[in-house]
Amino acid sequence: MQPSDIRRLVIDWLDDNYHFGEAEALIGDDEDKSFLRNGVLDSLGFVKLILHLEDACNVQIDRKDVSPANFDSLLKVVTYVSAQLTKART
Amino acid sequence: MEESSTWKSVFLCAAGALALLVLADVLLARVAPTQPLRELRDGISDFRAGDPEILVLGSSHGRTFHVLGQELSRRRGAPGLLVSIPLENGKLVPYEWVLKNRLLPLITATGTNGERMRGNLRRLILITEWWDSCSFTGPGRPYWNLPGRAWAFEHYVNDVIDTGVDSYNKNYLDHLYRRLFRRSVLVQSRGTSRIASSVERMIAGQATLRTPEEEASYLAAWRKMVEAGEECIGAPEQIVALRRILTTSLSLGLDTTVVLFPRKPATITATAAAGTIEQFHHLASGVATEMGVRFIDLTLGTPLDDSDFMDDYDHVNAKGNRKFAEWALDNDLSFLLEPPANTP
Amino acid sequence: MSFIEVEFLFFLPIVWMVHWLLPRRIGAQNAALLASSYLFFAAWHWKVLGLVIAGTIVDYLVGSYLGRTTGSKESATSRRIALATSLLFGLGALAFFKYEGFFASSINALLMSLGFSSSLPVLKLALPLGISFYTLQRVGYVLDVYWGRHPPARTFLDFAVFTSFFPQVTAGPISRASELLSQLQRPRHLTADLLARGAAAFLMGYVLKGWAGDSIGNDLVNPVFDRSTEFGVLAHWAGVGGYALQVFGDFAGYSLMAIGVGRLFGIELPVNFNFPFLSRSLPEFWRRWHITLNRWLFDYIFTPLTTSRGWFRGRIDTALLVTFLASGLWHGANWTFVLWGALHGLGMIVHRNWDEIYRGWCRRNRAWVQRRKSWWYAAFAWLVTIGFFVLTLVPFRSSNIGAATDFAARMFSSPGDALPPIGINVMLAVLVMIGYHLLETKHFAWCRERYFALPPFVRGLTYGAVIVFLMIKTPVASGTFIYQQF
Repeated sequence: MQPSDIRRLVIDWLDDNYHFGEAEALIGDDEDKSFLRNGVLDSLGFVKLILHLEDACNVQIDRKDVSPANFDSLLKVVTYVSAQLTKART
Repeated sequence: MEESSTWKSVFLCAAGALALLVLADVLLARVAPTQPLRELRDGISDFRAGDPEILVLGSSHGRTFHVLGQELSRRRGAPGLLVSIPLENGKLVPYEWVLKNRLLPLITATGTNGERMRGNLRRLILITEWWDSCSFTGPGRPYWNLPGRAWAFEHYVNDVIDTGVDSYNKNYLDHLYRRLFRRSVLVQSRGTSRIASSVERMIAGQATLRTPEEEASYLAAWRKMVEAGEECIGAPEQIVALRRILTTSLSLGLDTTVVLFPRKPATITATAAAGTIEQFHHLASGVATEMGVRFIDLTLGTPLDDSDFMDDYDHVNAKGNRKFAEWALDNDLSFLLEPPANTP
Repeated sequence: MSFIEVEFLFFLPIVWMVHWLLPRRIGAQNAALLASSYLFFAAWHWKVLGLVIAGTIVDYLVGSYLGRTTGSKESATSRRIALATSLLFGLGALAFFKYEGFFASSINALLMSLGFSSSLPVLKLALPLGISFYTLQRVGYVLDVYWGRHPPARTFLDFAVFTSFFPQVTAGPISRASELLSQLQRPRHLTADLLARGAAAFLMGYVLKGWAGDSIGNDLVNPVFDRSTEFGVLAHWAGVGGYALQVFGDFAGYSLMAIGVGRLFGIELPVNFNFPFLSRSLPEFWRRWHITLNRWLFDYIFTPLTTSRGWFRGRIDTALLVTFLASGLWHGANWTFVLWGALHGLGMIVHRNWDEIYRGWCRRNRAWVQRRKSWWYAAFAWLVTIGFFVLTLVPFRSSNIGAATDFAARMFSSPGDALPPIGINVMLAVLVMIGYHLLETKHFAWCRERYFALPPFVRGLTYGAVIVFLMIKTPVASGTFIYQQF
């Protein structure tokens, strides 16, 4: 799974569950914009996103990694999941 | 979004706030003036700095004796003859505390030559009234006038170590704060509705503190309180404290007098006179006689009339203080005009 | 010692001056802060220091060990034991002081109702100052270190300040290690901006807590709740609405003062209230009200439960109920708080399920997306959200379930008929709280911009006027913080 696939997966999930076609517009050009501070996602949403990523990307997310540092923006999510997938392959 | 502040803007802001505070204080002082009153700590300071012949211990009415002391000094041609130690809110148990913890160390303090530093002290006058012999019955520690008016810093620290900061010892810092800003009407009026009430009266054009209806109601409440006093006077712990005060004074070789302070005549009904006032007279005079100390009851026997008392109906005003001082030194307290014969 | 009381009037200037007169080095600054903080504790009662220091030592040692063994598979068991030790000590102390009486009396009552005799001792223990808050802060630290999210504190001194920092110790904000500890591990400098924003936050907090919240509480809420049978139906509604504002004024005001004081020492504490009465959904409310507690609950209870490999995985509704029951219990050792927590848990579940239904409509027809953005939907959602929050305050404010049900019944039919005691003071306080929220909205942003464009001296005059108002209206020693009892 490429980073662009992960990106598409997250955007589609946001559209399907929260923003109905407006997720990309909400995130804008800054893909490191905070989800929490900009109303993209809330705490409940984070949990659902994590569960979705584990299922959709077939990746195990360690509890210690469940923090805004890894999930609070599109860029952070893509970076983290890509790294986990790479770790799983090696 | 506000711009980031600079030191200059912070300084200007603070200056603006301070300017308005000072201006408000000055303006409000015209509407609700405060008058710094003589407090117990002023008395302690005077006693520490001087070497008086007479100590007067009592409630806030001791301020009247401060004026008497000035008249006495004028007549005898000797300054600082009398120091009054007024404890707001009174009560005999707190008087004893003050005597033991604030006055006795000063009375018995000796110099490098082993002699008492305040060797002129010859007399102690205890001013009291019926209210002083009633104990508080409410919750919490009583005698909040002690932390507020009588404690030194060491007493505060020791109490905080014992009990932590609480609503009782908080009074120490509350009064310290007020003493630091003695001239500020905003500080002195905190916790009261004085300023708001004064502004309301000013707007309404009301020259007096109370309307006639309020005055009548206030007087009725006073009379009722004094009449009901006979139910509480003579509380055992207060009488024990009274005896201990007199014992301590006598053990120091001091000529000791118990004086019952004048009351505003309008507040004493016939019922109160025959009840509370009469009963307290007997109680106090009995203890004084038993212990061999002088007893003078000035409750109703002075020329002070209603106009000589303040709006609170309790304290004597400036005119009344002068009248009282002159009369007392010409009459029941004339013995003060002569230096005492006793030696500690 | 609370921020609005006379002791703080003396305490703050002295410790502030001492702090900034010392060299700008971490050790000196933290030593000054620690001494000040322990003095703050000792002013409540010096005996509580023993508990604070003991817990600090335990958690520092545990944190150091966990930090050294991060990633080590051989130490997995001993790491779990270390973690358990810390949790047992901290949560154990909290449980003992806060809940022993509650659990013992509840068990006694239950057994007696079943016909058994029971005489578990019901201890009436004074709750040590701040224990509910600093315990959560320390637990959060230990878990963050255990999970490798944050390195352990570099020195005991830094950690001791982190667990006892006096501006936040009474009633939060509850800080993460990444927020507060990281600041304590660098030297701080007092900038004009920090001083200005600190003073402004403190003053605003004082207005909310020292005057507005207390006025509404003393003049409206207390009479209605204490003499409920005298008041009519309208008064009961006004009373509980007033209580919502009182708690807000009290707690948001305190939090602002804590943040203000923190800034005076060069420390930025996290925001704890973000204009909660603007909320249009319950989840949004809990993102705006007591933010740091709810963040803690979600970080350390809800998220671990729902992302675990165990039974709770994916069971969002159940986890919501558990989380809010924990919140309720944290607020107090009484069934009324448990009920309050349960109501909010259920409210969150209802909202989540409504949200799922609505999103289903949105997926089928995008017109529903626009409808959700309409003013009437927003107004309705706001009304339901705030109304729900206010009504759940009935058990929160009541001393027991019986009193809560009685009060709730009187909101519809009351033996009394007295009108709500709403004088000028209460009206003004309510207006200030409404204004405080409205100024945050984009419609009134121009007010804020115009005000901050005024010359500093002129703004200073307005601050002076506020201080004069406070000095006239508030005594030096007001009541305690509602949340201090938690």
